[in-house]
Amino acid sequence: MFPVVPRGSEEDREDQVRERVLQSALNFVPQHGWSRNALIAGAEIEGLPSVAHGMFPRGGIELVLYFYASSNQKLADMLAAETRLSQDGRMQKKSTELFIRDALETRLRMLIPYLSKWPQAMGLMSLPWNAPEALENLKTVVNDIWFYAGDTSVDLNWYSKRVSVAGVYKSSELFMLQDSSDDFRETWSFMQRRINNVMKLGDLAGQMQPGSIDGVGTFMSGAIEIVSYILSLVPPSF
Amino acid sequence: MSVILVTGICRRHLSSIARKAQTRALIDRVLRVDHAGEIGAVRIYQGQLAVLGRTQVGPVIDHLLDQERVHAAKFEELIPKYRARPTVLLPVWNVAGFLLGAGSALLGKEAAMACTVAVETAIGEHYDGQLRTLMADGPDGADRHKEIIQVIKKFRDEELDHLETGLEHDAEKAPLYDVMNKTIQAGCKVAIWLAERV
Amino acid sequence: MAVSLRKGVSLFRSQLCRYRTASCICKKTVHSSAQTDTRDNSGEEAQTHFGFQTVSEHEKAEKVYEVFHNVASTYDVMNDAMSGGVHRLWKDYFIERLGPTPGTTLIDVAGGTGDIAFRFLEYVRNQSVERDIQRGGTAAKGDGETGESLYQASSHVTVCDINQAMLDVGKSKALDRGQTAGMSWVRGNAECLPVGDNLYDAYTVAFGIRNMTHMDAVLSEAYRVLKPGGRFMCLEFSRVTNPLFRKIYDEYSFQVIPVMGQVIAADWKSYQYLVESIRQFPPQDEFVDRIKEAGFKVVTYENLMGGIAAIHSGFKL
Repeated sequence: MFPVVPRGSEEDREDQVRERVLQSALNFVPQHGWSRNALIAGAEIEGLPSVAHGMFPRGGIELVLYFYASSNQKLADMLAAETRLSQDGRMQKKSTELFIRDALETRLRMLIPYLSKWPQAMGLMSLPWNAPEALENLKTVVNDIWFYAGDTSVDLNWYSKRVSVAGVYKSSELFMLQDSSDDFRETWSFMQRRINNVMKLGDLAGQMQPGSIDGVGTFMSGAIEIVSYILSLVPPSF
Repeated sequence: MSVILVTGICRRHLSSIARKAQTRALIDRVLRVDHAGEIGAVRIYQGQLAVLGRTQVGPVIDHLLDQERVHAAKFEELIPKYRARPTVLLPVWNVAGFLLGAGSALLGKEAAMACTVAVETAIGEHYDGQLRTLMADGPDGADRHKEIIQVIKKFRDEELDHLETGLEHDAEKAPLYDVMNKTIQAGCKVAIWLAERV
Repeated sequence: MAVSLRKGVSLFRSQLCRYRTASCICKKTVHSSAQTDTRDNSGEEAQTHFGFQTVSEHEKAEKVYEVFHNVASTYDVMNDAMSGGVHRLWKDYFIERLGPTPGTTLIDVAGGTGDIAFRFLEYVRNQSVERDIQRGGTAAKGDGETGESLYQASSHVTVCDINQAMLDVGKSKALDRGQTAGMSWVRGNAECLPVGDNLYDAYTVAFGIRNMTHMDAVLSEAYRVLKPGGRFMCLEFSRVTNPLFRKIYDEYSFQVIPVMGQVIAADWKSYQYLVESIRQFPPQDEFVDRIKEAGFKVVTYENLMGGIAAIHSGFKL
């Protein structure tokens, strides 16, 4: 019937079918948005009748969460490969700041094909019953980046590092939504400035800052810059 | 993927993704609470040393402290390795541990030993429970979690040694020994519960 | 009345087929002259439950037939009494959960009076209207009739019921609503459907499966007639999870409903049976296992109103 490799348990096979439908449905997101219609189109491509969308009872949000999680997995795989290369000496080890910057850029670039419909996805993720799972996905991104950057903190630094990188990620993501520059040049500069903010307070350098939760500050300064840029109050500072 | 939906639910048949997520949540919890516990133990002995450092039992407490430091260092190595999250309440454990140690030492050397006995009993039981849970995690739990199981076994044995040491040094002669024992053990259980979650 | 009932029962008997776990071979009815035999290997008749009574399987089928023959004309009223009118909402939600698109083929089993079927057609019609609007509304306005009926013509529902009286009620409702296009009415036994393999996108059974003698046969048949990837959905009364709520619900069921039955339809016993049959139905998780045994995958359920009813769903993957 379907060319599913029969390994693993029943539940694994079911997961594989669902994953194939979700993967096909992603191709229809630019056209249908993150919705049941995209899932139906994906199911039909996989040779299933349209009622197969019932495998995803929550509708569009399941597609968003799948995309988020699979992008996180792709990022983790790339970071793991990069770490292996630098450990083997085949690649020069990057500084922590550069590593984080590149990782964030890689991850944000994965949004580009779906950027036109990303505000809808963000809206879905901010619904109260979806927010916990969306937050888990954000935590995964940040934890992965710090793990491969070689973080070994075991105290409150663990938290401040992650919150600050999450702040940079989120504010850059928001900026990207309205960036129309060539290859999102301005988004990367914006992101660099946010990273600089964080660096100045010493978080990324890993110094002992008892209880310094700086993510809120980063996010706020980023948010203010976006708003003033949109309102053309202050030209973007390069 | 859906970590939230999987943790806390006991399903009969889990896909391998869900099972992996459940295992990771288990390891995360185990390492977090053990790390918090060892840091707390270090602080307790430091508190006791601050009061009783120059007395006869000073070297004994010093020896216990050294061993706890080794334990804490081991967990500090394991936490980044297994990508666990350390407890957010670390400052609280730092202060509370020190106060408990110093407070019990002020009541006398026997009371300090009683405190040691109570804490080590609670920790010993806690480690036993963890060993059981880890070995029961799936049909091959004992294999998958070999490293952590070995570490916990070794530390549990050492904590029980500490328990013996405490008893040898007249812990049971402490005033209100039973009350102290029960209260401190209850406090430890609360701390364990909190550290597992927060 | 007694004569037609006897005739109905003997016709029903003629369609009884021997239960087989392999693919069902009864595409044609067995004539009434042939003696059908539902005895098992030991020569004793297999026992089952009819409400809280224990009866032979043969007797159950007959008794169930009688019950529904009696209640057919007041079936909707009975449903309203049993669920306080909420069954309509449940059925609306059921179709929403199915989420059919225009062009879907559905077989609705034990749905004689057409509740699910009409809702299904309404839903796909709204979907096609929406799609037309999205595409600029030309089809909806200009040649609106042709556009709509094109979509609707490809959506189809086959209503299957063992009870002719129920089907007749459904057909007359269809005529009253002017909704006869896209519907077929077939008399048949859910344990042995008179249709071929791999035909339908979706299979639904609403408040019918607890009355069937061999649930596993029904599930196997459902599996057989669905297309690969097709969906099985079942709406049925189920086990209330909260113990306090369950007590209140039990009181209502056993004290109030049969009285209502007597008042509305002068038929206490049928309603007593209906209430008892709900209690005999397996709880949600057990039913999931039975559905999985029939071969369905991605089997889930959703409780409605704390478990008074539940929607079970599975896919033929």
